[in-house]
Amino acid sequence: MKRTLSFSNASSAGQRFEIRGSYRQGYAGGPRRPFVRVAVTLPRFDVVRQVDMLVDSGADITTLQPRDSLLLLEEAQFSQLSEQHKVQGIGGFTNFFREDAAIGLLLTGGRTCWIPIAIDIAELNAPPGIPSILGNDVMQFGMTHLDAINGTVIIELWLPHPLIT
Amino acid sequence: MSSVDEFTRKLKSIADQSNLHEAAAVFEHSRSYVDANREKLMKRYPNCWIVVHKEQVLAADKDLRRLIGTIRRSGIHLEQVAVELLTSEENPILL
Repeated sequence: MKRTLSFSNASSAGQRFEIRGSYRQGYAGGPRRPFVRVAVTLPRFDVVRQVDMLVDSGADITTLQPRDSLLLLEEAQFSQLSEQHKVQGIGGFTNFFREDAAIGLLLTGGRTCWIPIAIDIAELNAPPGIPSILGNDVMQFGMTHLDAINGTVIIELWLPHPLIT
Repeated sequence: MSSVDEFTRKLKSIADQSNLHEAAAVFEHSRSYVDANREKLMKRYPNCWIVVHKEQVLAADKDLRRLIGTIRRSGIHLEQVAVELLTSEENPILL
């Protein structure tokens, strides 16, 4: 599926935006993982919500897992998702649906900066404990700072043509 | 009107209809409540998924799909709730 919109490469001068996040444990006693909170919209379904996403610099694409996709879509709507394809992970291949989406960064004054992407939505029988992932399709627009000592995450994005509503 | 203008208008419409910024503030409240009370909640709802709105646990279930189906039927604004798994089971992930 083609992206609805695309931006030029990250080396271009652009306007700076920032996503801040934090480290959080996935389970009691486990290591802390870096998360950021962004808005995710699926325009074809007229839905949007905040999603906490694991920052994964090894992921090519941003993905939604059932814990979040089920809050955006009713189960019946999964049959309306268009193209299903396999994505390779460490544990093998997983089936995803590709859907036009946008990642939203909430700004002051009720404004939002949107980054259009094609998001991968995991099929419903994917393991429910896996978090949604922010991948390099978003991180490619800037610099990602992971500070595990202080538990902070900052993603600086330089967008040449920011889409602000 | 360009496709970018149309797309921008569509995004604004979705954000406005859902009161995105207001919903985000309530979501933050719900999420913070879970973080601040995780130990207590884990004792009460061990190995369960919970749905929290502000400082209230609306539902708990070991099955995520059943839980979200239940909460959808209740009519609550899903943009405002936090859904969390409360477990002490070691569950490392390798993506």
